[in-house]
Amino acid sequence: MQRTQLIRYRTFSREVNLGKLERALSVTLGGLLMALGTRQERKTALAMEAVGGYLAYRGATGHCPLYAALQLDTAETPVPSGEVVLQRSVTIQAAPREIYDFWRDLENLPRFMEHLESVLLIDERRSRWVARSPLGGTVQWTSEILEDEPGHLISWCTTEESEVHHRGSVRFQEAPGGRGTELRVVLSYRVPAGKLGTMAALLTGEEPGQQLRTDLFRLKQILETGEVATTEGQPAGAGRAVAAGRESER
Amino acid sequence: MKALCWHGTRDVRVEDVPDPRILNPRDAILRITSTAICGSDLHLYHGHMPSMVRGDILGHEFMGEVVEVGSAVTNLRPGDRVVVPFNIACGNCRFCRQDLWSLCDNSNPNALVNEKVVGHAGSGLFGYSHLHGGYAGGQAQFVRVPYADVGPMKVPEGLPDEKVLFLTDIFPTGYMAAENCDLRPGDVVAVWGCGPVGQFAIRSAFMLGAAKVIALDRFQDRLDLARRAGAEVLDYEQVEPLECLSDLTGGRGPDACIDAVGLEAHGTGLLPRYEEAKHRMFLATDRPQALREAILACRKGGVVSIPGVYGGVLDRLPMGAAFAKGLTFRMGQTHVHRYLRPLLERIQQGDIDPSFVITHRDSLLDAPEAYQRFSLKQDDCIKTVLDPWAAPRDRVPVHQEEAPELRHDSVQVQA
Repeated sequence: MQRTQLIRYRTFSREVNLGKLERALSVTLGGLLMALGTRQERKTALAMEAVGGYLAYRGATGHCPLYAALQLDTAETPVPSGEVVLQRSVTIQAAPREIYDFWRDLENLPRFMEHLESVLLIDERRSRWVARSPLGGTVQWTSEILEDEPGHLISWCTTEESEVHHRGSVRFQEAPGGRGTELRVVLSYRVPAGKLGTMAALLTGEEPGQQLRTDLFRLKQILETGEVATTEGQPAGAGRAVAAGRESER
Repeated sequence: MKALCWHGTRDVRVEDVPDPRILNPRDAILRITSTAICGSDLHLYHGHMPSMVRGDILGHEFMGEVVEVGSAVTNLRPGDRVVVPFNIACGNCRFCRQDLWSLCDNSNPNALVNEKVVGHAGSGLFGYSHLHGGYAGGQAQFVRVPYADVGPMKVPEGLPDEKVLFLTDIFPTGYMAAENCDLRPGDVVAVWGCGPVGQFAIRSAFMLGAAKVIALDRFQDRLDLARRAGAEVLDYEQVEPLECLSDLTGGRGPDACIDAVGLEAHGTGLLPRYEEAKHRMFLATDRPQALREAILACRKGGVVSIPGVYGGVLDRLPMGAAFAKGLTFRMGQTHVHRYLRPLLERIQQGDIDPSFVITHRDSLLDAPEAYQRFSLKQDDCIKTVLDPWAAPRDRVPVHQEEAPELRHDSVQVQA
């Protein structure tokens, strides 16, 4: 019912798949083993040279064939310049037009987009968005509606003068067999080289896809149940045991 | 209020915690009058369920009196006496509307974490780890019930707590397990596990028309209780289960097999002991000995019905045998909401008195001892009911034979 696609920026063949610290350790340990190996007798020396050599190789090149075979990757995901594209689908038990109407009333968006503080309409097409930045403070931008097909599609993008740049679209389609409406949201962030780390953090917190998933889940709950399920504010123990025999105060 | 909180493996403690309060318009607050310890609580107690946090309040089998309702709850008023399903369901998503309440899309606030494990998250549960929503549970004096306009069912006057408490979980669980067997006249059902769920599964199988029910366990008191329902019993430590099952079914095998044991299965023989060792060292997530036998024993074209909880991945499951015999598997968390009213009717009509399964009654304040007793199966413990308002050791734990009011209770559901 819900699908997610995140663009992967690396394949496993020959690409760097070791993190910086691991590479450094690998080279050091490998070098050490090789050096110590020279002092051993033949069989042990061979083994130590081989293992040491392997460790040094993988540290130096950043590519470990064993990791590749096991599909492990400890390298830090590089921050690419260019576009980050996120996509997520969700099915909601409501008619396409009903969901479209809710979304098109842009001042509703902060109700399910957690990081938004407010959306204020400027005119028919443009609106001013204020988002909470995970680093503290707020980020603001002006957004403009590009395509608007009632019950089918809304697309938007930030205007030129905004400090951040992104575009997005939401498509509404009736799900087969009376299952409600399928929403397909695509968001893309254009990121100037060198600035992505800050940008992504400003906009979305940790993992960009996570915020989108959470927001759509909240939208589904609001439209289907009228509220968002929560446990914040519920009781929990704090490590204080009740002495045996003490009467309840109630 | 007092509440039973998880503190680690085999470490639960009664603590003073804040009272729950209304968080959402569809919430209600209950003053709990009776609450029980479930076999699946033992998975939490034994440390086999991930995502538990120190201080989490346990308990998912509870009932009580409404004391406060949120602004959107119009079907309940303070003073109403209700039983509450152990699963939390919104009532509006596609799954709830299809009567698949334990698969609710919306009631698990941690669904997005859960779906990384299972693909698509099911409903939130009371008191059953953060993967299932992290909701404070009902082994406490008060509880917040979300979607109170959908879950709780009012209990008619004249039915004491003990007769209806098990509508919250174990009776519907046993019943759904039996219903999932698609029983036809003449069918033979085998039930692995004579704990409370197994006991209800046995009685439900008879209610649904089984000609014969064979029950497997190793504890005499549990086998005796099964026998009292009309089941033929097998002590798998004394006899070889697969041989006996074949013998008792004219060589065909049972038409349906119910695994009411789940992930902490015990077995004799090398493989189960190896699995148990691995499991205790947390090198494996589940031990499928009962399920394995159920698959091997089941007749060709039969049904394997699984109310027993599984959490992770299984080793050495005879999938080849299941395929070769064309078995149907039915499983999952119980859709309690579906069964509340039909089973209440059965109770009112006298078809069954669910209190037969209770062996111990304690104060909530004695819950840590009660958990330990249940875990070690000491004192012939089968089911413990807790009173959140009783003083500790205010009542002596009652055995079924001793309590006069229970002697005539166990309604024998005849084959």
